[in-house]
Amino acid sequence: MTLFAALLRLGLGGILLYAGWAKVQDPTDFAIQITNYRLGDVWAPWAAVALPPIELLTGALLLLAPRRSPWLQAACLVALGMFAVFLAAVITVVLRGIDISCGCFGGDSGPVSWITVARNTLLCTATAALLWYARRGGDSSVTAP
Amino acid sequence: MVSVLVRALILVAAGAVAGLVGNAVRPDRVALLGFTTPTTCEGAEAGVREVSVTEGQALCGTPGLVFADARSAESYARGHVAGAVHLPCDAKGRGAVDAIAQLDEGTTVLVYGDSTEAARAVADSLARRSRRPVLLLQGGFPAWDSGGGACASGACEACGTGDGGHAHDTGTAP
Repeated sequence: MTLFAALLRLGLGGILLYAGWAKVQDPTDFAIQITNYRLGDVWAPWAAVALPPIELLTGALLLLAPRRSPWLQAACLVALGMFAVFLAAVITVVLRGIDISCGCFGGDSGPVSWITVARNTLLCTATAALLWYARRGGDSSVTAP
Repeated sequence: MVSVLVRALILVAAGAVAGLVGNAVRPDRVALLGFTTPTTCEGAEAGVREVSVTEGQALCGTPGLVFADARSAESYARGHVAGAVHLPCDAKGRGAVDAIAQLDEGTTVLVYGDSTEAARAVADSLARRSRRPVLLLQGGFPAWDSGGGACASGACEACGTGDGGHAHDTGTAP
């Protein structure tokens, strides 16, 4: 396993575990954060309840799954899906000029800005790189991008 | 690739089910149906009503109403509204929410700080999360003090128990 891929797993898994843990502390607050995005209110409490455990599970798998396991690829895929949805959401917020807290890591996560967009883009790219690596079966002869 | 997709779906489903089950058993669960959507920007609509010192004094001693001090522990010790519980405020206001949660159901909470605005965030947070009527004292403690409101000083005896145990303090202003 390349050092780069190991760092990606550590970083992305850690971020997801931290984000999931922060959100699971106060689902009501997270539901309110979601409604602040003004993308529809009906599904906000459902997302607030379901998303944190998915982040926790995905983060744990990114950290712990054997490198040749299809579960690592599945975790990469789910993480990529989540980061892509988050990226789309923060882009719409910035474009609509809504001034809200991002809620990315619980209650005090700072405002949504182009920095948030850049951070999510970076996360998407990193997850895609890790997925690519995992698809290659974690072959150590593969050089990570 | 199919097996990976199936595993990804299993992962999402397992997380979602864990979340739903976890929500069903936790005391501060989210109302999945009929969730109300107040935001901090809409604090006034979220149930926080401002009251003047005069109105606050008239409410003092009313059964089912508790004064809550959102200032620092040091300020509280120097002097506070008689009977007020101190809200242990952490960064996310969880301490305050937990403290208020221990009061009787339906208790109205009158929050004050160093000023109206200083306590507004705490009041908004309580209104959103504790589902109790929340009032906010205009002008905060300085206005109360200069308006001749009843004061007490000393450490918060009820802190940690939230039973409002010193609700009958009759101390004097510091």
